[in-house]
Amino acid sequence: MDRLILFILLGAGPGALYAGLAQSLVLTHRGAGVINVGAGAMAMWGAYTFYGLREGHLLLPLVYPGLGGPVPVVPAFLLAVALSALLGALVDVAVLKWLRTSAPLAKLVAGVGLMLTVQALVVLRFGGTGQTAPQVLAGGSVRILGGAVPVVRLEVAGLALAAGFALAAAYRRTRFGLATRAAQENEAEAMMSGLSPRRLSLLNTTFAGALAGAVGILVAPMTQLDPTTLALAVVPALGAALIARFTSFTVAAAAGLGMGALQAVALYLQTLPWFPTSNGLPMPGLPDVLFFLVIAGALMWRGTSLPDRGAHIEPRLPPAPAPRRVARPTAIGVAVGAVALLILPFDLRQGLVNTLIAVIACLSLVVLTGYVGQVSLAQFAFAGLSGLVVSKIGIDLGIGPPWAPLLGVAAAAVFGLVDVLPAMRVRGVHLAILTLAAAVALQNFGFHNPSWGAGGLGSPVSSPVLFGIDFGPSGSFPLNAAHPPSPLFGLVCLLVTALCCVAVANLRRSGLGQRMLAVRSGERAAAAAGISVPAVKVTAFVISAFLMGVVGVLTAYNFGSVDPANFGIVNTLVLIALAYLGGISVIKGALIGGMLMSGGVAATIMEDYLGLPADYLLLFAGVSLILTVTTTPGGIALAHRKSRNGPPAGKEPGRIAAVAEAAG
Amino acid sequence: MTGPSPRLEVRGLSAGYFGAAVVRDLSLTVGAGEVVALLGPNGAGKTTTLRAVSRTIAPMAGTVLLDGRDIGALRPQDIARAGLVHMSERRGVFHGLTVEEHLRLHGLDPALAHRYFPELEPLRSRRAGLLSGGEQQMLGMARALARRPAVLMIDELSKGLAPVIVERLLPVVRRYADESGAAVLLVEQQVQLALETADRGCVLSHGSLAEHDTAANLLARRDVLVSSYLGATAL
Amino acid sequence: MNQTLDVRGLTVRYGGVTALDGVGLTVAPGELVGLIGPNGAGKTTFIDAVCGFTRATGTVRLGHRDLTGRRAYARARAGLGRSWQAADLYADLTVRENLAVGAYRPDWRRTLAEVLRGRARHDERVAELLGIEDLLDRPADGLSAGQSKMVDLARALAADPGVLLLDEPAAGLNTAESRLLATRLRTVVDTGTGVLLVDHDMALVLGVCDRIVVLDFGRVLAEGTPREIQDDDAVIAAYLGRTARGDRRGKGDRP
Repeated sequence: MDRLILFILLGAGPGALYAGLAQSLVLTHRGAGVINVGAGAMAMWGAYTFYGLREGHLLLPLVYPGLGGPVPVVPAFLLAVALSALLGALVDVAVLKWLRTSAPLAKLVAGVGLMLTVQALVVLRFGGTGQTAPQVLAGGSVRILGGAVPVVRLEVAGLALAAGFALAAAYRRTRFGLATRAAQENEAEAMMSGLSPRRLSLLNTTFAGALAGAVGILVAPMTQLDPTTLALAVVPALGAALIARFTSFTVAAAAGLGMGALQAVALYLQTLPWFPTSNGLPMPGLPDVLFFLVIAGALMWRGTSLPDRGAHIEPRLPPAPAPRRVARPTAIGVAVGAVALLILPFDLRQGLVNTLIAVIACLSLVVLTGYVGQVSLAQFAFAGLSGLVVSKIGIDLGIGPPWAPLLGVAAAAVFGLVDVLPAMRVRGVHLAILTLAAAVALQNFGFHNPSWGAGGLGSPVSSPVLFGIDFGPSGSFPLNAAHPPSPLFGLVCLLVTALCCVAVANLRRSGLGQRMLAVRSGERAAAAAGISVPAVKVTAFVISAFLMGVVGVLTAYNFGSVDPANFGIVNTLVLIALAYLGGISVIKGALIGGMLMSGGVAATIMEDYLGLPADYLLLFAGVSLILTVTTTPGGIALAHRKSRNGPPAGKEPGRIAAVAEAAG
Repeated sequence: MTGPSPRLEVRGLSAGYFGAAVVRDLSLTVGAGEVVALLGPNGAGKTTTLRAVSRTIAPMAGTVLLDGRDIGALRPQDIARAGLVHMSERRGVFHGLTVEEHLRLHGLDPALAHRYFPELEPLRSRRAGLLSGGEQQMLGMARALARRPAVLMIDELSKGLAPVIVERLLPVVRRYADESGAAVLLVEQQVQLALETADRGCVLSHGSLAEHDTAANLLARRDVLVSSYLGATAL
Repeated sequence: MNQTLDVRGLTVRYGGVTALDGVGLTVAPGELVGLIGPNGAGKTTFIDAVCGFTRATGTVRLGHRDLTGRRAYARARAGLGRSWQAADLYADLTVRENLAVGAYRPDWRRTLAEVLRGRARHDERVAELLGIEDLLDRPADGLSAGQSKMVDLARALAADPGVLLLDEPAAGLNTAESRLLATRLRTVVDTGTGVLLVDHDMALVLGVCDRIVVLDFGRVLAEGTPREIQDDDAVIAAYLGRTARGDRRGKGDRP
């Protein structure tokens, strides 16, 4: 018991991080109506800025000028917090300002772009490994219940809680707080009261940036200073913010500390003798599973009652016209692809194979986001699951094609169904949060598990042999097969990709596709036509997971192993970015997105022929996602279309016009 | 039309949504201390007129002068700060804020609300969302008046309210106009009550001025009003 | 199939405000019933509550089926069709696709066959009935207000509903369009579909309805033929307001 309490006290460190980030999330949501999944990345930027200052450098995007010596702690802390605030202000002015009339989902996706951009900048400067974060608060440790608890952890937790009470008081007492609450409830009405929602958004987002930065700097020494830990701390923080309904600062602070305690309990359980082990070590990833469960629970409990801003603006996603022709473009595409596979040199052939697989991944988002207007941050988790199934039943049961791929794809679809069921009642943005938690949990609990996951080195996959022919990348082929991948494997990928394209095109032209777009256009009007909105969403989710299952199978054969690094959360973020850039709502967009995907044709040319390092792709993806969402939501595929500035006729036009007018 | 210097002057206003005009070439003035009722059946363009004046929608054409000053270049929040208060059908009430907080939002003394409506005193720390429709309307009105507007525009004060409450509210509007010399533009469905409060009435039909007369004259021509509301076939 | 809509004791409360207070009415097959009343009287709330878009107490029956407490999509499948004050078309689809979605009835075999063939079934009869065939290939978000309203009506009709509830179909129409709507509504009713019409266009409502129900403050104020309603003093008072000194007893001041 004593040890449990000790663990919980130690959990105050991460708890403070979650509490601070949760408050930052509440601030951005109240001020700008945005759920900023980039909050963790903003905390990370603050922590790295502080690290840089202590090392005698000023951290700026792409440059790292020296300052002629380390900056002392206090000025370094203040400067780093100020720079974090500046980042918050920049996010508001450069990103959120342009998204005021956008769908909530577009705002969330912009947060994904922020996360990706900040991560890319950090990786480009410091590489993928961690740094030793410098201490801010001094202090030794106190002995409690026979164990040493560093005072710093308790201090930081106290600060996080104090911040919660201070913010709550400010929102009740100050005119700024009252005005923010009023504008959050109804922007048009607030403007008629002489308030400026623009300014309120800027102020709140600036505060949110400062808060995230401060908590990142303070907590980094207790967690880790690397490009992912702080960024993904947004998951438990989102859980805490959900419990606080993105409204109450004190609840957000308390729930954040609670999430820290939950994590501590999980770590404590791992030290107990009965806890299941794997390869002699306690099973990893239990805290992430618990976070997922808390978020799922919070959504079911409060899902339908989460506040919105009165929905005065008709959110629009890019148009998704039904393709007029399918047969002819498919035939041409397959012919061109086949010739390319037969004549291209091996590196470009590999790039083309990667592109073909990535096209299917983009198609999964065309169905889910383009047709139904939902976002999933777990796409590559589905693919990883399917790849693992292929690998494991190949190794353990000796089952190969055709059953292994089918089982893998089926597993992905079933997992997609299970994953989305708790979210049946939940709207798009919250569904996205749930999938983010699911992806992190699956990654740490599933893929990194030495027993049933892929361990550190990856789980091997044997080549697909059917009718005595090796269809894998190392198979033989009469033409141009000196280096892998074999053109035959390329042709298999080409055929599968073409089939998926036709299927998604047909889906759009069918009654089901029409109903998906009807749901996207307006859930009330869809229900009035007898459409079960949850059923349509679940169907789309399963189709999307199915396509990612296909991606998983092909990727597994492509690499000859299932490596967790290929199925991580960052892969999904990059996928969303490039699918958006290509065009999230049309098949042509998926083709463009596939070309740009890491390892694809464009990346191969960039690396092998132009000599640009691959890490820049991450930065390119992040920045282009933000630019796409804010300027041309239709992506490259629809860029030639006249932007539809103006919501549909007759939908509460006065209020839309009122807000749109004032936003401009 | 009346006084020498109208506080609110609308010239040739056209407004609508997505290129389709709902209000066409409308001109009207409201003088100091004057209450003007803007009447007409649904869809005649009354609410659209108010929105275009407060620029919560962008007018297609026309000029709006506030105390002789063209407010065409201002944003809605600047117009509100310049002294033109527009109470929409939502009553200018934020459901999440308490009665007191509605006044503190503008840095005003919460006690001002009770001066106009003592009924609100015991409710001062209650959230507006929990108030009845009549209490919400009183709160909205108290907040609007406490801001001492030069021009006050009220959209459907009576919507969803029992007549007894409307009879409680309209005299407060009248008194404010008389005492402060503000101009009041009243969009109202309760024609009878509105005309008993107002000095003049303008009847809109299909976005244009159909009738314009003193309130007393309009009240005397009840048949005209009935036909404009219930259709030409009625009575 | 034509069925009678039977609504009893429908009550809706929002926070401290009672929007509907025990409203009951019936719409028989082939009957066109008008529902009128001043702004804020609860007309749209009534349609929302009947169709399952607003939480309400009271019973809603269609024919022999009790729809009380059912979800909106289930009520729609049972035969309750509705149109929207703001048309609410599926802006991302063409008019033809809007009508196809409107005609949807669950059938997984057909759904599967459509996905495999990449084609949806379209039925143009409703478009012909309402005279909007020339709009079929237009995107729904490029239509004028009047056209949108007509497509909304067609979409509701495409499902061949037992009863149709129309929320201000004439709002935004000019006089000629409004007259055209009246004749087409009559055509629809003559096929045996019951229609509940909410509208502010008195010429339309008085001219086309068999029976009219008047709402005021969430309660039924009067009910009768258009002639009777026109001569009803309480109705005229509800529209023009009572005089400050006039009769307001029995109207129930809501707190």
